[in-house]
Amino acid sequence: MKKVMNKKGTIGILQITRFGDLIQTLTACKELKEQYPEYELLLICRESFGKPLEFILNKTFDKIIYLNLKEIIETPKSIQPGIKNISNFIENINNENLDILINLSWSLSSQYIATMIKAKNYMGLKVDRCLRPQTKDSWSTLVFSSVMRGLLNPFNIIDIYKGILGVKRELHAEVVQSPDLSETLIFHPFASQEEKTWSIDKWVEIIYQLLKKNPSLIIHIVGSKKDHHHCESFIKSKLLIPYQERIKMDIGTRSIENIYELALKSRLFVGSDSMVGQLCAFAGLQTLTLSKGSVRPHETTPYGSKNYNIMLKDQKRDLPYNLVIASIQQLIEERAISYNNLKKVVPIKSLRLTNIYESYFSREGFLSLKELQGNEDLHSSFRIVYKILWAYYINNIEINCTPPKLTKKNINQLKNYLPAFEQLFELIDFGKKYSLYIYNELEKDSPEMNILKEYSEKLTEIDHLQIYLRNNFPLLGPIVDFFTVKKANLSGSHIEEIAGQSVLIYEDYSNLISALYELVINIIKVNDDDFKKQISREVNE
Amino acid sequence: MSNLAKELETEITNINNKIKEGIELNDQEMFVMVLSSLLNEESNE
Repeated sequence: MKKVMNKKGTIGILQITRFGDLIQTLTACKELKEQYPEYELLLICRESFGKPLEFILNKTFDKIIYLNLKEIIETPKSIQPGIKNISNFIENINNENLDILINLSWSLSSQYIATMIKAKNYMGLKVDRCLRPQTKDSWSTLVFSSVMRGLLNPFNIIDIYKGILGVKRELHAEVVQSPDLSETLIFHPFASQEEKTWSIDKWVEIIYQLLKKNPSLIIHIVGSKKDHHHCESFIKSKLLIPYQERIKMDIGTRSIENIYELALKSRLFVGSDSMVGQLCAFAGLQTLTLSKGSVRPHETTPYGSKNYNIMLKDQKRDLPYNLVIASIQQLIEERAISYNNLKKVVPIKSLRLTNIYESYFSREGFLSLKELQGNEDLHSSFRIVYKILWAYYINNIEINCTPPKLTKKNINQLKNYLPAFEQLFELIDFGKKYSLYIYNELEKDSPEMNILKEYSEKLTEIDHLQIYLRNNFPLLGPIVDFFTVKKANLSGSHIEEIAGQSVLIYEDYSNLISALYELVINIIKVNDDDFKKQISREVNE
Repeated sequence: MSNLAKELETEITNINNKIKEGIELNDQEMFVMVLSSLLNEESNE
């Protein structure tokens, strides 16, 4: 354990999910520690994931308490030994007298554990003793409402962690282009889920083409012990036989610490969406992620500027390998991917199969993705709109960006949303009205129960209608869900206080819907001259 | 079904009944919930 000079308090960080989540947590906490060195940082994580990362975790966290899952769940005959182990584990944490506990793991077990840990304050997800979710901070509310459901979360997971932690957003330095770069690439062709990976034959083809074209290039193929059976496919491939000296098979043979050290002196990471990409980005290495399956590039692209993510649009198709080879070649030569240069060597039909994202830090300090082909659709437009909305509502940060350019079809779809905004606005207005009635009734010396019941039933009805509206207009999902979670987490020492908070939440809801409506109108105006003229006519009348 | 699974199932049924009645769980019951959720998550991985 490290000694913190002039210690002001202890912050407990609960992260009991997997390697990737732990590295993302570390990235966010590293900035927290740099900004608040006088706070002791205690990490609570699973031993199987924390131990192999201890060499970097120790640089940020002052103390680590491990959850030994094997010890807890390997209790064959009775639940009592397991319960005793959990109780000891919690007691161990409670001895640390935490000022704040921040749960950054989004699992049910972590929410129960967070409830059992004693702290003066809590952030992140937790439940009460009736197992009802108790999420107070808005960033965690966003986790419940946007990250865990759907494709409209605009933020990288690390930016959400930073939001929950209260890290000040600072400008990040761009990648420094060194003229004397290493000739080593790290390939990680595996992922925890099969659907996220690519066939080994494709990787063999890519490695072959790259080694043939770049005579001094060395490729390290890294992976865990469970990926070891793939070694033979690379070793026995006829295509790769002439290049075996420049292919380093590190599948199941290198520790995570060794891979990190390798990343420090390499040129580029290429691989599936996995923890190795996160680790390499943490080491400052440029990354190219090849995304398949349920990957959400906006959430998980490795944290750093000029990282790239190639995402298949149609999951039934395969990634065009000529596009992947051309992209890697550009990154070797220029450290950047230019769409115009790609067009010269890759057939347009191959390019159209994918979205190619480039990461950059916005002026406001959020990691953002730019789609190189300029492909904007309703989802990407709404991600921008929600980013503006959430950043302002939660952190008072104003984001300036140019409205997206949309096709006529998309604009018409967007116009179909306008009546839904009006309906939602009316519902919220009713919600505000009935919440206020309840509050006023409660203010009376002897409030009438039947009146309170009647108004409460109206509010339940409004909630149901909102869910109905959300299901028919899914792009409104994040805002409806956000305030549903907010309302479910109302708290107060007495019912009057809770009723008062409900009124305020409806007020916020109403303001945010108005702002969302304005942003959508602006997007339509920018893309549709007739609509712009119609709006200005209406204003003049 | 193992003894552990049977014991856990009985405990969870009792806990669910308490929650339905709006009764708060005690430490021991919360620990059961932690154990059960950890086991579930582990088997899903």
